[in-house]
Amino acid sequence: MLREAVDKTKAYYCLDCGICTGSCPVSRYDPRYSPRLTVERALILGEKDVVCDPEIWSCLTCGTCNQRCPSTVDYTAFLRAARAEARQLGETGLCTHAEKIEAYLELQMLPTYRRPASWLGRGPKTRKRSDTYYFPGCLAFLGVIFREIGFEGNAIGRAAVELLNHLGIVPAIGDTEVCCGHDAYWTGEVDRVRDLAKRNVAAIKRTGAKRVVFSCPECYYMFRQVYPDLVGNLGFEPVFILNLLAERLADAKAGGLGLKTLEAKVTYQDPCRLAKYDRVIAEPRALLGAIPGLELVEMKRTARDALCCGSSSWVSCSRVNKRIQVERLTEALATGAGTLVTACPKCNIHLRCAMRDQDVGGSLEITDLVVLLARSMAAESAGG
Amino acid sequence: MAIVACTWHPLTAIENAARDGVTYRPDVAVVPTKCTGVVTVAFLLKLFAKGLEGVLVLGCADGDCHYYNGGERCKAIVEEAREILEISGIPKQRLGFQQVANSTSEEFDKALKSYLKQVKHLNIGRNRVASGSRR
Repeated sequence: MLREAVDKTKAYYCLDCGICTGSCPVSRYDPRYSPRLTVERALILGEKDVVCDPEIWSCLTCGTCNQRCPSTVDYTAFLRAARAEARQLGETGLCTHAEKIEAYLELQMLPTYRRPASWLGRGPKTRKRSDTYYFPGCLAFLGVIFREIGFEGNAIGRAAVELLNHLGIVPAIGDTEVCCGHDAYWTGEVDRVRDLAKRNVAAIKRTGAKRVVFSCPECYYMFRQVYPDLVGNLGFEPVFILNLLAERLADAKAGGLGLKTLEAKVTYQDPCRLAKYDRVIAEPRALLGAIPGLELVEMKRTARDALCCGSSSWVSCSRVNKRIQVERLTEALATGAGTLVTACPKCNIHLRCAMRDQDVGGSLEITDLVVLLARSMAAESAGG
Repeated sequence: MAIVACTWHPLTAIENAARDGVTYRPDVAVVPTKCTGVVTVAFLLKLFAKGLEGVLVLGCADGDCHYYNGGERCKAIVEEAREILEISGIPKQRLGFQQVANSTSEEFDKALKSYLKQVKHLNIGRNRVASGSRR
């Protein structure tokens, strides 16, 4: 019941100040959507009014409102509960990408589901059993469906394993793990997420791993913050790859990371899950700073104030989302950087898409931080 | 298994095959579509997710589309669906694509036989792949 969500997220503390709506990237372009009004309507008019409103599917769940709310209302959690409620009534958001994502999830539910190890290629070293498990998420799948916009999912997975190998870690890779359920979670499919969580935890436990390394902030968020509530103690520690690398970088005794010169001027897009939900802000910057020859120029809005890449959970990709993406790309271009670095495959995909089909008045290379780091490690030391 | 057939040449070929008394395996469901160029990747994948073991898409020959370029478009759609099947542990040969040159029953017979040859080693119909709904 939404009543419960109101109690849990402290939505009744709402002072009606409107900071949430003022900060919301969606409200800026779509005046029909307002976090403040959504909360107010739930409190005054009752849950039905909110649950049946198609606008609840417009939220990006970026969490900017949560950051700024003076009453610390957890708006995104409230909205997630409203979506779960809406699902029960048969309402859903618009499924983007011609339902491919939904269809892939259905294939993953088949008992025959196996991901062949061949997607990773020959270079990176992996094992069947290891203390460390690498969870690539849906990189292989995203690599297939977004190839046309130049997104290379496999390259991110390869770079991540190469970096782990460089640290002396040979990770285990599973073939039965499924989607982390992030998008199902944010679109209110709680039962499905519980099912996915159980399968993932069981698949990881079979390899005897003590820690699980992620290169996708959304998978990391799910394992760190959501899975313990759904399936209890995980029995392993979720680690984000950038945290692991930054730790090694700071450890002078271990000899740093051996990064080599890479001449470039880059800017960094903070993924929402990483910066706003998991507070991984300094680590990517420390890593970028450690690459010799690389200059990091920050955008106007960074870290916890960073603008979202404009779309999430594969619901709603409209004119509004495109305008948010163009706004972010314009901001990135204004820094004078030639490369936009991000740490989330979704930011990568969404910004690439906008870069390709919107007029942003310039061109940026978009790349993942792990790919950049792997490139820097492999670079020739003489001149780069 | 299912045959997704365009209603122009391929479906007419299947109807002619029925008229000519051509026999083929009984576990085939024919799904008519206006043009194979509008079949989506998700639709093909969901047929497998429902438990089907084989899907054959029958389109018209290149340059022979009633609309514009359905057959050519379908090649790319099937190719993408195959790649996704591959990373889901389903052999990609299970999804076949054949183009029929005309509406004769021989063309249909040839296309189906060629697909069945390609998946012979996969024993379609003899093992239960999934517990999903079956015909």
